[in-house]
Amino acid sequence: MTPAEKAGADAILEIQDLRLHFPIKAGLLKKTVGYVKAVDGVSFDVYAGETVGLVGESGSGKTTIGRCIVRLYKPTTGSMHFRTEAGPVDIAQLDKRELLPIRRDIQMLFQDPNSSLNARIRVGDIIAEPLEIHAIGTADERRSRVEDLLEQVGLGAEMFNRFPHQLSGGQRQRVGVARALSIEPRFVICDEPVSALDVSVQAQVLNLLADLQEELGLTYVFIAHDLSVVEYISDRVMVMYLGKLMETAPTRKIFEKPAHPYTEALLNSIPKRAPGGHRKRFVLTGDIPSPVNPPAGCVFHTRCQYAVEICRTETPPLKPLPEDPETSVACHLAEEVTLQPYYTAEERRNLESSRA
Amino acid sequence: MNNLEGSGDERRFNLFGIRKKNIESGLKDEYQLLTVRQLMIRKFLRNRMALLSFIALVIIYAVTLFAGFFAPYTARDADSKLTYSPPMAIRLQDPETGHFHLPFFYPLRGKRNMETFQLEYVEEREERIPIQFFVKGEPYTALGIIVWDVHLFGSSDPAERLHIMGSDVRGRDLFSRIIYGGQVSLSVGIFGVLITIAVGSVIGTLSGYYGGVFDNVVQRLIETIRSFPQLPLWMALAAAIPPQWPPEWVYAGIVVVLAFINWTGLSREARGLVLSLKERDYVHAAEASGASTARIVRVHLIPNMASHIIVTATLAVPVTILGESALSFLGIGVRPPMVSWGLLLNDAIKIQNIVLYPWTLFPGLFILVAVIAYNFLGDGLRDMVDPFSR
Repeated sequence: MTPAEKAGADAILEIQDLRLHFPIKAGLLKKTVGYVKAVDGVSFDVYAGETVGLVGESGSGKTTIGRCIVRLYKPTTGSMHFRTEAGPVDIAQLDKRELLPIRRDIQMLFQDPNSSLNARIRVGDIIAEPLEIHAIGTADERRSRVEDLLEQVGLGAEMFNRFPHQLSGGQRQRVGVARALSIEPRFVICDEPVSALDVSVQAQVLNLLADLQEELGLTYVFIAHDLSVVEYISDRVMVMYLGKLMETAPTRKIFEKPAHPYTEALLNSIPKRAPGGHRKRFVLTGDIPSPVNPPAGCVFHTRCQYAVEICRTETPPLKPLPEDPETSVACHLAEEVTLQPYYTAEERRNLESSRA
Repeated sequence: MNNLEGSGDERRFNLFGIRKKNIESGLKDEYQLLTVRQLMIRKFLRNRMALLSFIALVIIYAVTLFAGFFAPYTARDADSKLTYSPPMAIRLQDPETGHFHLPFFYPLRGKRNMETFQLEYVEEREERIPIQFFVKGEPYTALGIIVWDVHLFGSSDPAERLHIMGSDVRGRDLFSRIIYGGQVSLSVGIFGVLITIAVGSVIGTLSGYYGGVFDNVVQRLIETIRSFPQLPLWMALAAAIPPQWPPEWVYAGIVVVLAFINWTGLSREARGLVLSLKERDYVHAAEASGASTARIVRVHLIPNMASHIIVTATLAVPVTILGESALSFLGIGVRPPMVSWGLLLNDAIKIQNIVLYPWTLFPGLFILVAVIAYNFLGDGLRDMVDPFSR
C-alpha cells in the first residue's frame, strides 16, 4: 500500500491521546504513592490492510499499547476508535460483555510460544478455543475449521492431537498464528512474534504472516525491538521511547533518513550487513529512565547526544516535518541536526539488487 | 483427513515410548509421541523409592481396611492371664530334629518373681501350639457390613493366645490393636487432607485470582494462624472438644483441628500457582478472545494446578498423621475405646514401661513407616509433576 492509498483509506483504528498509568501501591494500607506511566499520551491511526511496526527498547511501552488495543489492559484515559460495520466504536472503556463482539475482530499473537500454549491441551483444542468461546459452529465444524487452519499455517492436520511440547518452537508459533486467526479477525497485534525463535525460523514465520496478510486482508500492528525484522514486514514504523512516540515514518524513510536522534541510535545498534566497513557508531549507553519519574522536557534528553537547553525544559510535540509530511517527529532539533542514515538510497538499491 | 478419526485415542500410544508405527491412523511420524500424562507416569515409575512406598502404603491401607480379617483378635479382646506378655516367637524348626516344622509357638506361662514382684513369662517348651491359617475366631464386621469370624492366622487353640507383638496391661494383643489403630491413624491423614484440599485450594485460588481486599484479609489470617506454634495450637483446639462427645465425634473434631492449620499451607501454594499461571500468555490469549473467568479457571488454571496440589496434599498427610499421634499420645486426641497408633504409644509414656515392656514401642514403628512412605511418595510425585525436567 502506498502512502497515497493510505491517505484515502479510512483508519481502522484511531488512537487519541492514549494513557495507561499503573498505580504503585505501598505500605500496609496500599496507598497509591505514584504511577508507572507505561503509555503516556500516544496518538496514531492504523489503516486497513497495512502493517505498522512499533519499535523501542524494553520498557518503552510498546507491548502495553498492544495489550491496551486487545483490552487486556484498560487504558487510564484516551480513546481507541475501532471501525466496525456499525461505524467506529471507542473500545477504550467498554466492559467485558460489550467487548465480546469486538474481540472477534482483534486478536493477539504472543511473543513466547512456550508460554502462550497451555501444555495440558491438545493443539487442536488450543486453536479451537476462540471458536468455543464465541460458540461458533458445531464440534464437527470447529474440527474441520481447525484442520483447515493447520494446513493454512503449514502444519498439517495430523498435528491436531499433538501436545505443544511435542512441537518445535517454530511449529508452536504457527499454532499461535492459527489460534489468532481461527475467528477470522481483521486486526492482529503481533507482539514480538519471532523474537523467541531461531533466526532460521524467524524468516519462515514472517513469511507466513506476510502471506496470510495478503490472503486474508489483515491489518497488523507489529511490535518488535529488532529493526531489521520491522524493515522486512512493515509499511510504516513508529518509534517509541518511555511511553511516548518519538517518530513515525514510512519504513524506508526511517532507514534512509531518520529524523529523531533516538531512531538514529536504534539504527546504529543494528549490525551493518552491507559491505563497506564500519562507521563510527554512536551507541546508546545506560538504561531507559524509570517511567515512574520520566525526565522533564524531552524524555530522551538524558541519553541524547544532541540535547540542548530547550530539550531539558520543554516537551516537544509529535508533528509532521514541513518538508516531508509523511514523517512526524517529536524533537526540537528535527530540522537542525543531520542524522546518520542506516543506509543511503544508493546502498539500499545495491542491497536489494544483491538480494535479488 | 478421515483417517484422523480415532487418532485421538491415547491408548494407541504405548507407555514406554518404544518406536511403533501407527498403521491405522496413517501418521507420517514413526516415533510415537507421549502425552504429558504418560511422561509423568514414566517419570514416577523410574523413582524406585516412591514406587516402593506407594506399594507399601497400598498394602498398609488394605490391611487396616480389612482389620478384622488380618488381626488375629479384636481390639478389645483381653486375656487377664497374659498381661504385658512379650512378643511370642513363631517357630518353623523342630528343636529336636532341626528339620522344618509347620509354624507353631510355645505358650507362655506367667510366674511372679518373688524378689521384684514382676510377672515373668517363660515358654512352656513341652507344648507346641500350631499356628493355623484362616482360623475361626472372634466374629468381626468388615467394611461395616460383612460379619465374619475367619482370621488370616491365629492360634489353633483358643485357650492359648498368640501375641506376636506382645500384649498390653490388660492382656490385649498389641498386633491386633495396631491394625485397628491404623484405621484411625491412617484415615485421619486422608480425611484431614481432603478438608485441607477443599478449603485450601478454593480460598487460595480465589485470593490469587481476585487479589484485592479478600486476598489481603485471607493472607493476614493465614499469617496469624501460622505464627502460633503448631503443637500448642493443636492442643488448645483439641482441648476445646467437649469431653462428653461420643468417640466418633471426637474423631471428627480431631480431623477438623488438624486440617485447621494445614489448609493455610495449601492455600498459599494454590495462591502462588494462580498468581503465576494467570500471567501466562495462554491465559492472556483466552482473555483476549473473551473467555469468562469460569472458563479460564476450569480450562487453564485447575488442570495446571492439580498436580502441584496433589503433591502438597500428599506431603500434608504425614504431618496430619503425626499430629493425630502427638495429640493422642498426650491423651487429648481420640479417646478409648477407639484405638490409634498415638493412643497405643501412650502405654510407653512412662520410662519404666519402655524398660520393662519395650514392645509397647511397636506402634511407633508403624507411624515411622507410614510417614516415611508418604514422604517418599510425595517426593516421587513432585518429580512427576515436572515431567520435562531430567
